[in-house]
Amino acid sequence: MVHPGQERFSLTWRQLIFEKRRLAAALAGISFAVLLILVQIGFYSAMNNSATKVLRHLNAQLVVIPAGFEFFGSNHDFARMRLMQVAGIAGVKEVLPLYYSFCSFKNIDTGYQRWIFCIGLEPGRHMLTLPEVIAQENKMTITGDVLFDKKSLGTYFGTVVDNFNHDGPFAVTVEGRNVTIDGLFDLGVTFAAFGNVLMGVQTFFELFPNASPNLVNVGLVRLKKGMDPGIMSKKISRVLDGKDIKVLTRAEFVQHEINYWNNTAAIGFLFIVGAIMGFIIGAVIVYQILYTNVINHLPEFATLKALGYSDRFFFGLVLKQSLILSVLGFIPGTLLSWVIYHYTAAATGYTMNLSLDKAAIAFTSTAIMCVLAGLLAMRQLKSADPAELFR
Amino acid sequence: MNTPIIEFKDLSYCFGEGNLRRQVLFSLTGKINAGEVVIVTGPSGSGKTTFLTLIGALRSLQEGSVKVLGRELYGAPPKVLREVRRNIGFIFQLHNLIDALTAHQNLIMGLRLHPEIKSPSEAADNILNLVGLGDHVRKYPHQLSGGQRQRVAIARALVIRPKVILADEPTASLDGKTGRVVVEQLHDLATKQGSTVLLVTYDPRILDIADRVLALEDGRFVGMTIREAGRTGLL
Repeated sequence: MVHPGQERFSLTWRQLIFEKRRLAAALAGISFAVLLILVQIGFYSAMNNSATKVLRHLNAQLVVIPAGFEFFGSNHDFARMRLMQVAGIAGVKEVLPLYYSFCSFKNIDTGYQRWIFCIGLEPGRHMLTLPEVIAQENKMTITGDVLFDKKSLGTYFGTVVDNFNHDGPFAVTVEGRNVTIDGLFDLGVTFAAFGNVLMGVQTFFELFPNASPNLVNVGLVRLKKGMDPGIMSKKISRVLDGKDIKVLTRAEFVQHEINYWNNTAAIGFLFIVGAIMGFIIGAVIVYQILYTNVINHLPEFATLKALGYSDRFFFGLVLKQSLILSVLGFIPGTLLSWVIYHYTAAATGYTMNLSLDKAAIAFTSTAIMCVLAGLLAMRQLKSADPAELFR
Repeated sequence: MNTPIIEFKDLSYCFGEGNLRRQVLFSLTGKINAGEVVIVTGPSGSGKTTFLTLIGALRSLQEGSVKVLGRELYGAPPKVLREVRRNIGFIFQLHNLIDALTAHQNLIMGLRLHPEIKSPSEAADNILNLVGLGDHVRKYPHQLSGGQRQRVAIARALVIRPKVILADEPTASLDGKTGRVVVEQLHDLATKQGSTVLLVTYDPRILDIADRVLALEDGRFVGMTIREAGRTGLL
């Protein structure tokens, strides 16, 4: 009686799936670890993404900001004259001023005053590369007409988006004046604001009669074709030679914003701590699971060692089992995270994006945790005489 | 016939450290020749299992010398220990089969280290037939009775055609009748293969299968006949 193919089997796999309940518990634990990591880095990157979305979509290679500038929304400005000086430097194509301010917005349902973030742009100059904004720039040329961020918190400002989608443009009260919401665009909440309004500069200064067009919050600098932003940034700094302003590339500007929220304001730090906690808790769970996996199999390993198998064989076995568990646990963990991302995004207005790089981070850290835990547990086997390990 | 396949000299062993240090084997010396069936017997705690695991390269030597198949085990590198283990068929007190593998697959695990045995699947089937488990080849250990499991363990030890078979209380978890059948099977198959057998037991009912009995008490050989002692080279 010969059983063809019976000699081809994998001990690695057989051992892993033999006890279904143990396998299920291990996978649940590893999924949970993956979930913890993914959700924490998801929050972290959503906050950063949201906080820098306008910055990343500025249609200019360089920006000029006032020296004391803390974050996009901080109450600092610089003289427009300085920006005009930049316009004269060789290699610069044009400069554009950007104005912003927090302003009061009357909740359309309750009538309460709420703070919203207002940005004033030169309409028709494509200062932001957001497609919805570009498509509706003509609306901002009308004084008194604004675009409303559809990700603004509905609980805070009222059912603006629903109203607009239902009835079209309608009037709201901003800074005590009537303006018309003439369109929607997509931005999202930031650390600083629960909502955003976009308007042409003429509307902006109508709402803020005390503000001066001569005081700019952020200056956009567009370069001529082929100019290197890094070199130009240094050149402009040198020419302007002042302690009142700073010149940054767009990437530096984005990083400046992230640094402010992560380091100075320490808000981002909370999420980094969360992500590290997720990793540590995940590591402990995974270690427990894999350690138990090895300990439970020690007598069997001892038997195999008595047959003449080498330590290397067991290292390979445990390594493979650990990696298989991390892959199998990663899949449900990621699916579950995706669901949480979806609901968090819907509830908070943050863009929760389960990107490939986040998945890669979560998988790499899970796999590393799994392998380390497995190998740590293996030390039990390496040092011991087989006779010490039998039941 | 009189080539020694196992030789041990001044073999001592201690458990524990410091105040808890307890010597279990006292300077044992002896030989086991090719093809012999030797039983080591003695009360619980006499050191017989320790003795067996030292002979089988499953425990590092502390003092004295053990030569198995011409290889010195004292201070031997892992490679040599593996080599010796591969040439020994072990049968343990508890069956020590791999739970996640069928009877047949358990045998294959042993055969994977012996590429010289051609058509391993057939070899495994044959030996399982010989121990009367032809109908249970694809069963997992938990689907077998205690006696059947111990017979799988015997089949696993024999299938690699080892020169030496070491058995530690193979009847301990079996009832008297099953134990007898299992040991007789072991004896017959080992003899047919020409294997040397060293069997440790406290079960007096199976002593008669031995060519020679070594009695251990408190870590020393006792009560051997002069004839036996002469044959072991103790005199």
